[in-house]
Amino acid sequence: MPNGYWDRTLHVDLSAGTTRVESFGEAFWRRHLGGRSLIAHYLLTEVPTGADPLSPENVLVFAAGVLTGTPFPGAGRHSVGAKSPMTGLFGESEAGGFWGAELRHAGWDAIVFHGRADKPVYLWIKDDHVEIRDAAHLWGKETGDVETALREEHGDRLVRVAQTGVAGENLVHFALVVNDLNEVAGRGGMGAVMGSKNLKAIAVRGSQKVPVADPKPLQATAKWVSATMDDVHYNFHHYGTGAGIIGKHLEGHMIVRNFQDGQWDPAKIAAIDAKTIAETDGYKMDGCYACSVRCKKRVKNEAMGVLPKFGGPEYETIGSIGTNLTIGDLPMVMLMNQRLNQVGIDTVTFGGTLAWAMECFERGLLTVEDTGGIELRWGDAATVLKVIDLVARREGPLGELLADGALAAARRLGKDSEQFVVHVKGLEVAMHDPRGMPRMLENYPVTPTGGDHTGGAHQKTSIRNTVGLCIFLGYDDERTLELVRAATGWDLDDQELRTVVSRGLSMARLFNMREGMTTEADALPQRLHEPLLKGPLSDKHVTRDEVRTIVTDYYVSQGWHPESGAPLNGTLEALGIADYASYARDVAVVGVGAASLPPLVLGANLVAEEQHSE
Amino acid sequence: MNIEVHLHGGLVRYVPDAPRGVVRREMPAGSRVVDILASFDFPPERRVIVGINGEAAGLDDAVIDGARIDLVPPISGGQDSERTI
Repeated sequence: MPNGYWDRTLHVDLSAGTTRVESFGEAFWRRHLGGRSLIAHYLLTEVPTGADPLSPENVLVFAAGVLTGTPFPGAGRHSVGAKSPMTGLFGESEAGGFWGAELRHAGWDAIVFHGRADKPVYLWIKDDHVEIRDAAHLWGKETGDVETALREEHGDRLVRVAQTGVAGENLVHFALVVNDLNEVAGRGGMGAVMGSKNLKAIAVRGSQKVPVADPKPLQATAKWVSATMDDVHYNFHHYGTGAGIIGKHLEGHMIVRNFQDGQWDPAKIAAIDAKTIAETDGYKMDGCYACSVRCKKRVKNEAMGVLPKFGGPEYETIGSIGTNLTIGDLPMVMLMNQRLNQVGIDTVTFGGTLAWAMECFERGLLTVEDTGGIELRWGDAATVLKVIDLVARREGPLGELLADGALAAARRLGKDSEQFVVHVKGLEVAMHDPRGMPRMLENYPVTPTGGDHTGGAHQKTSIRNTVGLCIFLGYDDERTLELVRAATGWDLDDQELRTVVSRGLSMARLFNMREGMTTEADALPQRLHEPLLKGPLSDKHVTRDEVRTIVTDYYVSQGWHPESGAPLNGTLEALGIADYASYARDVAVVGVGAASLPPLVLGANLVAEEQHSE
Repeated sequence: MNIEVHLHGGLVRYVPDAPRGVVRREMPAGSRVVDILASFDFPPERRVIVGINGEAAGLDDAVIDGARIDLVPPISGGQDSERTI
């Protein structure tokens, strides 16, 4: 009997309406541990080169890690992956909540969807019982109604639902997958892939415990988190993300007006930060599976129709539709956050795309003729609220223009407007400005998923995205290793854990290069090479040479070719993934790689620094 | 002189009598930022970002009567951040 995994991946062929179970054996699981590495395995082996991300040829993978659903704080994470419609490259996004743990409690490690159903369907899983069911009654419905309907249909209020919203049905390229109504796999358009497969939802109920080799370290960790809450997790426990964002303003790297300013009105910043949110009527904190930190906001505003079940604005949303669009009206930020969750849109790309559109409107490049008469002005929350629905349904010229993200919109608009798109590899940059954050400067250009602050190249985020562990938990590397060892019973050491991270990154690299990505994509956009207009960083200039040096150093540290960025033969062999090169034949993997396994990127000197990240 | 100090994030735990992290301080004329920090029981190694009326301030900057002081841990990113959002 294995520990830490069931050795059961569920394959669902939506075209044929069939399912099958795949088991790999222990060696495979020890090689990959789940999450990102499992997604990379399926994207390389199952997706044909050059496949349209929204075609039946793409796969959609829901992957747990070996820690997902085991009983200690932070073990409620799972990953969703596919070839991304935003980047055309490796797509991966992670979510918390209860859905991933429930999948594991039903006895499954992962689900891989293939093909496309000929009509809307949803997947029902109750332990071993798996059923593709008609979803005609759910299609076109918003997320809250879908979850209610599925729980009533199965007569169980603890059925956990992951779903795509109406934005995903309409193939909005930055549609997300939401589970438990407020937890999202937001980046990269995984919800669009789900919609393209006519797959509305996955409803899960399980009754089993994930087998673990030694429960004692997990129990001890749960006790440690409770006993040290004030010392280690005070901020997350009381405010979640988004507290003290005035610090970004003071340091001069707050995201304002499409990454132009770096500073904003301190009173307006204070009006929408997490501390102010915590003072609103009806506010409370809630948690993910087995987690006592409880860092998730739930907000309420009866007058605005804001309901706690849709959660509350986290930092990325406060930044993307608040400071970036200069909207300092908290009830409106709360309402827009809810609306985006109800229709299933990634707040980061939505805010980034709107910021691009507002800047273009201000510059006269985008006019009311292009927008269907809508004026796009900084700070105009009422208009932004309307645009959410236009985009979700691709309605009108503005909804259609923006529905594929800022880069696609700029290429349609022309007028040299692409210079104002703040993206990496086609994905809008998250709400952390690399001009003020060296770690993000080292992260964005080389992250396989593009402008994503959590999908990155850092050791900590990568290993946690692989094993199913939340990055907010203040565990050091030693404890993380101990938890994986306890769950699996394997005598892993730190080097082996790091090797798993390198493996996932090299596999994602193979996939991206196979899909035509070149080193030119490992870069920052024009805007981030310009100085900020306000504040203490306004004289700071990030040069292209500086970024190129970071990128080259990264290639070398990974055992990749310093010029082409292709993983070297020796590296693939040292990592034990030479077999995957046959799925990326056009990638020139040459030369002898590292004599030993590549030491993790940025690793050693950042591990101590990365205590934990929001 | 009187000032209003707003503590943010994890610094709120150092003012248990002010659960929302807002405290008033009466300080002698001529007080500097370093004097305000010394009036709290922060660990010496704790890095704090300081703002006076919305502008970044250094340890030796003078504080003016009626000022709003923001004390922020580097949770929101920055050069020496221990955490990012």
